[in-house]
Amino acid sequence: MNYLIPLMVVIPILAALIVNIFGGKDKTVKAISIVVAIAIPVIAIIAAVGIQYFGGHDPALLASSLPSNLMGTLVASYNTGIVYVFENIERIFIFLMGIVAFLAVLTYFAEKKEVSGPYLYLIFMGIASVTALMLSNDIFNMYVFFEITALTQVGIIIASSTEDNYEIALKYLILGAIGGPILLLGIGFILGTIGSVNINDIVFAISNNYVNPYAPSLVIGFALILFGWLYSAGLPPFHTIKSAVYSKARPNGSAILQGFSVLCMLAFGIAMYKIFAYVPYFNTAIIVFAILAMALSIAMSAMEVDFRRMIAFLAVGELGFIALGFGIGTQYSIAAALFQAANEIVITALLFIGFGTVYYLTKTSDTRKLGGLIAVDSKMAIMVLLGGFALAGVPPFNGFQSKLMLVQAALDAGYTELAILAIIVSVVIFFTFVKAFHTVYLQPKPKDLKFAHEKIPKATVFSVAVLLIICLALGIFPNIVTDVFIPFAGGLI
Amino acid sequence: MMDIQLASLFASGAFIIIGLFAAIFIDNLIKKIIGIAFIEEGVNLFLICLGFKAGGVVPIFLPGMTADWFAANAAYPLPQALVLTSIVIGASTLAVMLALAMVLYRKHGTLSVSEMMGDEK
Amino acid sequence: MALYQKFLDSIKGLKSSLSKDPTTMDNVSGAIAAEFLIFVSLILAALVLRHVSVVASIVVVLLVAVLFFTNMPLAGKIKSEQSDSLEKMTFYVVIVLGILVAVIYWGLRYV
Repeated sequence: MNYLIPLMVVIPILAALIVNIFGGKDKTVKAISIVVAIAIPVIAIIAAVGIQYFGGHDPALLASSLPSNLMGTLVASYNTGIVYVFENIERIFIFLMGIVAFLAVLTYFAEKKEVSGPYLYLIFMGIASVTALMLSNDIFNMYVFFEITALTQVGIIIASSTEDNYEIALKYLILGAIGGPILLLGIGFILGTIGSVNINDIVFAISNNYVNPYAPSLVIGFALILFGWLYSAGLPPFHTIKSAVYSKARPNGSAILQGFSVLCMLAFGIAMYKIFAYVPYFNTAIIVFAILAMALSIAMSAMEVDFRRMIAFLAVGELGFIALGFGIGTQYSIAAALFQAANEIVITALLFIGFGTVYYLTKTSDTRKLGGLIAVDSKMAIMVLLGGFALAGVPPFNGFQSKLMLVQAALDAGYTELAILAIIVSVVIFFTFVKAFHTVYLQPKPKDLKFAHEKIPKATVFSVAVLLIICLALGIFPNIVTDVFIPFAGGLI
Repeated sequence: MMDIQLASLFASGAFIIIGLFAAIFIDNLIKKIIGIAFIEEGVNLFLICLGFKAGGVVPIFLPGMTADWFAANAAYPLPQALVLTSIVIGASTLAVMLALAMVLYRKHGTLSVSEMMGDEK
Repeated sequence: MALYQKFLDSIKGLKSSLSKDPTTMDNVSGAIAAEFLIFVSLILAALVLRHVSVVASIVVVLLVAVLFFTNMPLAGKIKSEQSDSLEKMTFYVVIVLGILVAVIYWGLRYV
């Protein structure tokens, strides 16, 4: 029994409840939050690889004690409970999410004197649910935790007290109330066809021809789950609302929200890949949405004048690269997509927190009213610039490695056009970022620019520096993660 | 006389379509939220239909039943367990949506979505 | 040369099409970049069709190019279609849902 696997979900939930109870006492809340936020990545590192059968069920034991008429049938091989699988790939993503959450919480404490219990509750609850989403091997369980994630995302926007945040939260809920049930409907179709919601059971039933792989119910289930995946990831047509959501949270909240989205996308993407990769045009469908996401979101971000919205669109556009890797569908491209996802969690968090300092200093995010901020803190400006380089794919950062891998994979698979498109989109990302950087930091300071705070807190600088170091480390030693991703991707195909 | 399961499936489809219609076309926020609740309930009804078994028994193993008889006659319990969870999620989403509707009504003094959101037509 | 002149004119026209908000030079450069990106990605997406049929991809690329040059500038239109308006977002969400289910269901029945 490997108790650390369920503890990865239990500890954040417990922390969420405790933090909420101690709402008024700042010091206790801060201490608990910091300890738990450190504990999550540490547990992810030390936990041993393993499988957790909830309720103590073990399919091998149960299979031998079944009634005689069920022996040797499909049902005999089914799991009767929820299964959590913890492998090295989950370790990497939970670790990165834990680090980002820790730094975001640290930044939150540095920038706010009075901490809010409910806000921390939402953050920890969200972490618990995305962790469970990554671990779970059961699509209904994934749906449940995904809905909890969506609710915490809404809660984080509501708690952020920015302009128009309630309106955006309601829009996200309304669109989510279309996307979520449609996803559940897709899961229902699969359950009705196969009789189980465990991914391994579904794959077993389909690959051993217990059901017709092209049964209309399975095909409809695929269409609906693909739609739910678009919602969970924020690919078009959900990219506008997703970027609005990112831009309405506090900078540290946005850093966590984008991490949630990336993990949701990965978890459902991997599940879909395991179940439906046999469907013809599966890859084509994903590539279509990847191209839409890259072209539309990056074009929108180039036209944006609000820098928070701009980074939000860049974050959504980067998801297009992950989808592109999944869509090309070779071992190398899926590994590149996973690598890109790992990088995006770190880089986008860096940019949200780093550019967030501008909002912290001036209380405005309109680039037309900003300028000359390099004089306030040149260290932060340089770190943000390097983060932007990592995003656009400039060596020696991690974004370069993953994009290079993706482009090579596209070329190897014969999709020359997609390789060119990926490069051109990267160029526009670079252009957009440099334009924003220039207007915010380098151009002359407008006379009427007022400062709400004089200095950037040390904890924020520390957070951005740590994220930058991770970017650099992954860029120089990509083998740390690709050695895990490439065999995993090989196992998926 | 239509089969109960088939009738319920049609009803769930109707629920979902009515809900989508309301979510797209109705401007009043409360009515929109009611429509959205329809989508959720339609999906729940669909799920519960999957476990239906004509003439089946409640899936609780009572003393006196043999395992073979139980396996042949009990309804499929998994969808029922799933629907319970799904109802809870639906209820919490509904609660958050209604709370937001209240806040927005106080802020804008109207329940019309297009006025409230300031959308340019 | 007429096509080239038209292209230049349309880029100049971009500035007036963005006149709703008081633009700076940065904003116009962003709109031009977006315009190029949209054009390039449309052409490249059409080129992906060559994996299905080369003839179809030639026809579609030419069609896209002609439609693009007759409808320039697109950036402003695309931006206004992706505003935060709930109506537009729900519209596109439901349209995509309908297209996905229809194409995948009927598409796979005849594979």
